Amino acid sequence: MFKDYIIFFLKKIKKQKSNSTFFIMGVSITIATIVLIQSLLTERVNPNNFIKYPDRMVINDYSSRTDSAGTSTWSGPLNYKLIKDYIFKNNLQEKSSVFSSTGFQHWVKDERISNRILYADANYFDFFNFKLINGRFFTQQEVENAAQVILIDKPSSLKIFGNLEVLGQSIEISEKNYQIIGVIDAFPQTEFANFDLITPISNDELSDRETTINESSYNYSCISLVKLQQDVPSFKQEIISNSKQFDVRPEDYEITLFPYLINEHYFSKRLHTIEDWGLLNDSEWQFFLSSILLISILSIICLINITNLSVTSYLNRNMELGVRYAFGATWKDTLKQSLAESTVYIISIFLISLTLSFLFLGLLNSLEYYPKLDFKVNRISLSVVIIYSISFPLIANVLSILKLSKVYPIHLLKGIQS
Amino acid sequence: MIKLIFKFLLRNKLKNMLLFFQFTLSFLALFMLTTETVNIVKSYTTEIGYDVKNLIGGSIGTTWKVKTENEFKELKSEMLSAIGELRELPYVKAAGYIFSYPYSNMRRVRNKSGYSRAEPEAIKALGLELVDGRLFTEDDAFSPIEDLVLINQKEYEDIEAKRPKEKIIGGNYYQLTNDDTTTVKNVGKIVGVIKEYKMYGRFNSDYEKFYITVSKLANDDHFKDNWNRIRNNSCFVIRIDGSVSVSKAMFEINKIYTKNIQNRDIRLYSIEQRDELFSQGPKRNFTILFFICLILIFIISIGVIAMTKESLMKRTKEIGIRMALGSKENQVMMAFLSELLILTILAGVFSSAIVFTSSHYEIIKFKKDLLIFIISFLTLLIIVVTSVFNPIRKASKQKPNIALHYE
Repeated sequence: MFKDYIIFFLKKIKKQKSNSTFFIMGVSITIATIVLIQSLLTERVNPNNFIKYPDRMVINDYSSRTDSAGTSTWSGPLNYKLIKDYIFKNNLQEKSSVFSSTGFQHWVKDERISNRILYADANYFDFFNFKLINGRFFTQQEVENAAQVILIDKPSSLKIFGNLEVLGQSIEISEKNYQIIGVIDAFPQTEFANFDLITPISNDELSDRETTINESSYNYSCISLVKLQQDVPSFKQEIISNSKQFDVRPEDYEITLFPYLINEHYFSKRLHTIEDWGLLNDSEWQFFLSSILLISILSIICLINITNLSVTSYLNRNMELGVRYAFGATWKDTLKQSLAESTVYIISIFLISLTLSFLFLGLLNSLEYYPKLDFKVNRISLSVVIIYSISFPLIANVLSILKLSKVYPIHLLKGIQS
Repeated sequence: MIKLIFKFLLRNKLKNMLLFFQFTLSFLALFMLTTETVNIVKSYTTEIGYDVKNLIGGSIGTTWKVKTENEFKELKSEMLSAIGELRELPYVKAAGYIFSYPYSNMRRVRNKSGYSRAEPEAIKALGLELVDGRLFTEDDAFSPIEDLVLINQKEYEDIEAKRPKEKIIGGNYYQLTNDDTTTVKNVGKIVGVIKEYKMYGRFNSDYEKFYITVSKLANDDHFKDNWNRIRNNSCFVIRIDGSVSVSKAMFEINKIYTKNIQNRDIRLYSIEQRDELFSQGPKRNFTILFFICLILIFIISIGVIAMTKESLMKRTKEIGIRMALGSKENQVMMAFLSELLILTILAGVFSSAIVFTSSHYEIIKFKKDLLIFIISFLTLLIIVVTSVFNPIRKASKQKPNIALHYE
């Protein structure tokens, strides 16, 4: 029986070449485009699974100082003193790390190179999946001793030294020489990790400016790993309430902290305490919504059109269906045939859309719009391809058959398409 | 006529509803693309006030650390000797200190106007064009008036609209731009109007109004109560004549600065490179969105063609009757096209309402620009008409006797 269905289907494809091509290509291109948008959305958040625990990592990189009239005069990352006083002592957390990054320039032969250096403690490496190519990370002891050691990423190593065998060589930053102890594969580009070099936080010449929260006070970001996922809200609340005790000058000012999960930064609204000031993560939230809107538009339009194509295609087969109905076939038989046809569609669409996804992501990589990201077909993309490849042809074909179930054989044979 | 079209549309409710829904979603996607396109076109055609070519910007690090008179005097003398040496270079046309060089991340805003502080030589290096009044002179650093101000044309027009009777050149900038004049000290005097100065670059449209006050680096009295104010002069701009490459000039400039200024980080930037760097984000967004919309257009076209073909097939007899009763090809074509036109207009109106509602409630912040609405609508219309034109034309060319044969 299945063989007969396939023979009917192949005849149909031969007869309605353009219809079938549009159906398969339309769905495949749509799926590949959705994979492209999904990759843009997810890779920027957690490139190559760089962030170890996105659902438990609370970051605190924004605070504001507000007076009683609701006017903020200062905003920026978290003050170091606050981190030391409150966050490090919290019982709900497993581990915390303080960091701050800054840009600098240096000359290599006749070329001016701009780099970003990250000052961090040794805990920092426990939060992210760094891929060490050569050497080692620095230790807490080296942080305490302010050892002038540094880790460099692969692109910078190639740019500055021309190779990756650079252990023991030195880099001059602000007239100090730092010895290279490790080479790391390209540091991913995220909101929280945008740098080329990492050195112990104790080397930051400004790290002693920890007490004042006044104008131009020096600030740090802090990442904490909360012990249990359900403790995240209470941990955030504790940081916020503790911050009220922080000594702020002038005295009638109040500091507000905005702790958040990394996932929340991209996928939910982070409101400012003063409502009129809108969202703290406005651009990320807008990017997320726009991506969802585009995915929805593509999916809906594609589904409407392929369902319509499918209905038209079945109606064009009126004589075939009419004869079969006249000889006693029911719409359930047609449904079975439709499922068999859908299987062929599903396999073709899956293969073509997967190939197109590789092509689209490869194209995106070659354009180098995101130089530190490597877009690949990963598990999420593959799931998207599978779900869409199965659901779209199935829905379209089943809806068409349901529509045909109400048509009389005589009408089909006479070519009346109601 | 329109009543008749609606009657025809209602006859095939489901199909037309689906078409309407498709057009609405397509309009939203096209609206997003048009917004990016308009933004990018505006960025490249906008007047920024200076030529990015052969312009170098830079900064001196940790100037905020200066607290005492001695530290101030030491740094100031180093800064002046460095810039003096620079001006001697044969290829340097002008060089001066400024609060922030173009395309820098340092921003200061007052009353929704961008702000900078610059030496007369810095204005010369930028090459800002004077429209009215005069530019800064060396003597302005010693003026008893706290701030001598240059404003751009947008700021001028804004003041003129708000205070039509007041004299702008020579007027007090702070009083003219602040409604509550009693709280403002008599410290600012507008000396001239420049054509434009977009310090944040062509890709930032946040602040159209801009004002520049004169730098008083040469005048020690200005810093007396607050030696730390020297940080407002921590950047510089240098215009070279093009006889040497920007890269080579930067190498020389770096040597001069590191020789004269000790223990401070010196950063140098080619403004042309920064212009290129800042353009990457908008270009990237535009290209990705353009690609997605192309695919969307392809899918919409397939759908619209398929739906129209099916609809035409069903209405073949109707075409035959129309032709038999004397309708011409063009009239039949127009009848079908006008149905789609009505659907497109309805979808345009409905999606515009979605755009307004979404922006109003800040769900997705669409840009409410009439030009963008018109371009998006026309693009959708062109896509629809080009997709259906051929099938409709073919159907309208059928002979009445053959068309009437269909049931």
